[in-house]
Amino acid sequence: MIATAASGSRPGLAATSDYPSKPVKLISPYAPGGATDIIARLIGQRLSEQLKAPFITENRAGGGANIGTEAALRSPADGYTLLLASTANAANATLYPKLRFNFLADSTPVGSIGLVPNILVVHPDVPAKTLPEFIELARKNPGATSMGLPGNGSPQHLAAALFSQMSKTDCLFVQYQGGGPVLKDLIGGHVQAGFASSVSSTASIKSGTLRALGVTSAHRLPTLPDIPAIGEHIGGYEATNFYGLVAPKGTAETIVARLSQELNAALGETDAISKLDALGISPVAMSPSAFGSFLASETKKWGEVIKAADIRME
Amino acid sequence: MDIFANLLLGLQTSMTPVNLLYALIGCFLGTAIGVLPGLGPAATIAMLLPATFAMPPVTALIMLAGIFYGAQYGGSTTAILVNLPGETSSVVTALDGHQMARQGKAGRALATAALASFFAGTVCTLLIALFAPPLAEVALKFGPAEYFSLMVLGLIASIVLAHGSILHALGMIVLGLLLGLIGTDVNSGLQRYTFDLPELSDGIGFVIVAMGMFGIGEIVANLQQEASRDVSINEVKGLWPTKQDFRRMVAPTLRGTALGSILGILPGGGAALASFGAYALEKKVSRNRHEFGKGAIEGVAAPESANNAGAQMSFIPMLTLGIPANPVMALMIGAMIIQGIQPGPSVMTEQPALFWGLIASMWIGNLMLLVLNLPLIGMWVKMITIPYRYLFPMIIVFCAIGVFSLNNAHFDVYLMALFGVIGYVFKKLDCEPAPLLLGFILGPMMEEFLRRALLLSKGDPLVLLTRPISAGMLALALILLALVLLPSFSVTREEAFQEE
Repeated sequence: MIATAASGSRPGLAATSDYPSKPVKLISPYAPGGATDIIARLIGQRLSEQLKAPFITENRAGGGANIGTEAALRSPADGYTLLLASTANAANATLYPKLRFNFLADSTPVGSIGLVPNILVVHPDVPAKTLPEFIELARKNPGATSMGLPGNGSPQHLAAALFSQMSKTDCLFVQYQGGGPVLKDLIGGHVQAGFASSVSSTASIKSGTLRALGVTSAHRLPTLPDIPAIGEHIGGYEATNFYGLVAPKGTAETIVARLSQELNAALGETDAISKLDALGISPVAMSPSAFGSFLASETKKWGEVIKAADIRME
Repeated sequence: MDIFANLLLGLQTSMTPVNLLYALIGCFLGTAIGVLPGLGPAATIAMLLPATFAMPPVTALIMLAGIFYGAQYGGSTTAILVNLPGETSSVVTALDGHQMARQGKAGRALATAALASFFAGTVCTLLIALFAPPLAEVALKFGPAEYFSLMVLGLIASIVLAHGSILHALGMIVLGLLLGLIGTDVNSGLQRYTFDLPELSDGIGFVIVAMGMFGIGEIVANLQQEASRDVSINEVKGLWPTKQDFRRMVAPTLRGTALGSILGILPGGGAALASFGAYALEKKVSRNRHEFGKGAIEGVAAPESANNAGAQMSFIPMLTLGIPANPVMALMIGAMIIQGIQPGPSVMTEQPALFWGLIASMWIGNLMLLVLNLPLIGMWVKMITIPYRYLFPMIIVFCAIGVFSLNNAHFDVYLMALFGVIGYVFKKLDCEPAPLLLGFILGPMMEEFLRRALLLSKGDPLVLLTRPISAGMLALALILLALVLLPSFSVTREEAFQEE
């Protein structure tokens, strides 16, 4: 599917040889200030310097990332509109039954930017000190352990749904509008547990206002080496948010190759690595085709989790 | 005491020429975008974020903070001069401030707003410096139940706040609540009244409703009575408040600052609730309550001090806990992260120069804004002497640009136009937009907090009464409601609202 998308290059070769000759629009389907926006601006700045053309971040927030995604995928496939794609794009294919586009079929993958793990945290008053203790506690009191999550269908909600499916626990999911309010109620002890992004929760974990029980990435985090990966106790568990770049379907192969090369070069630079690190992102470079298969597998994985947990957005 | 050493460190950090320059740039930019309807601090800071990559962290934060509280000053200017609140917190300022402008007291209204804001800013800088960590603890004590009760209190207060017919006010609040329901249900993810339009799935933005109902609606209504408007403006004189004005300002400013400080540290709805609450409170306690809605200076001083206090205090959860209280604070956190600073409790101990430098810069920035704004009042006042036929197309263009810039969406501009028509109809029907906006803001939050409180209590509504803070606020709301419904009170109320 990816190969056919790339070979259908409509803009002629002449147009692609001097790419980019005008500003490139990088659509972030979220409001300014969030992780996606900051990543878009960081990567955009790098690509601007390397490709000697301005990369302008345009925030098209709303509709659970669907508005910005649709705007990007409906743009001309000339390489001058790109989308900052994330886990939401993989989940939305199942969450929203009435979408006017098909993310996998209507996009051309360019490359991955990186992965952001979430952390299972609890208020210090919660008696469970370790992950197995927490699972036992939750199993003993089904529906009683409250878990704050930053929105229905959010990556943290998916991480929590996968966790309860694989650990056979039943926590009380309490939804908030965004990660900030979850953190506030967690620190205040109004909810007992939660999945929070590593960026926002690390400081609270280090100061002891929150207790971390496990990280959702496949391996432990260098910043929190004492915290086990959830997968160490629940074999095969992994739920990281991903970020990457895609272009509209039909973008010329030469342009995609050029962008992919520069993106991967940017991800190897120490300055970019340290800035992404500060956002809690471990940079991961992938070829366009590898990123395409990754997008397909994430879409399938979260589609199954969403159906099993009966999460709906309609 | 440590506090003096800390403040000294802060002053040293913020008084370097570079930091002073960027504080000034931030304040100036903030005022400018505050004056332009719709273009808020969040959009501006987002656009400027990449420019801060290259600055030292403290310089970047000082500039961004300046934009934020500068916009609070600027926002009152448009609210007073052209009755166009660009932000939730200046909705109530428009009520009396614009009346003052119409009576030729525009300069005095603007000076009142600037002085009240400066006073609140100064007090809050000190409060932040003295009490930031313990105050953050207070914010944490507020769980879903407390928030819900606070919203109930705010809503009851807003009924007291309305002019004229209580029935109209109730109707507008209910309509606001209904409009607020549009969007995605937080718990189930179900869409409500969105007609399958993805543009409506996050609900309608506050700025769109406010711009449409106040801005466009007002313009259309004004076009019908152009003559009367121009007469009042020719008499603009006396930019400085009189001695009597000052006397009337003092108590409302103190009360507004206190209320704004308390509500400001609570994440979400803080500054908005603060200005609505301060206005309602003044209207209850003021000796001049019969003048409210007709150009009472208290009606400017109280909400302006309250919203500035609220804005300033919203830095507390951001600085001490790393929790953003509003979208602007989320952007500030983003700016910190980009600079490699992990927002949270450790900032104060690990980055003392940054923490105290930012706090000290707030006071310097507030002083700059006062100096910037007072001499410029003449210029702002000139703005309303521009004939209306030239002014209104400009306002419409700025509204459209402002609304478009929020989400880069045409849909929002059309929606604003629709609310303009609705606003005009309501004006003809003598229905005030202020209660509608409050219902619109508080309704969805009330629902969210109530459902969360009930979810966590397993459906036991007693949770609202067993938690002391929550019970206290509900009791206060009940007393207020009784006051409104008591026959003796409603008589005074009618007297207060009687047209002369």
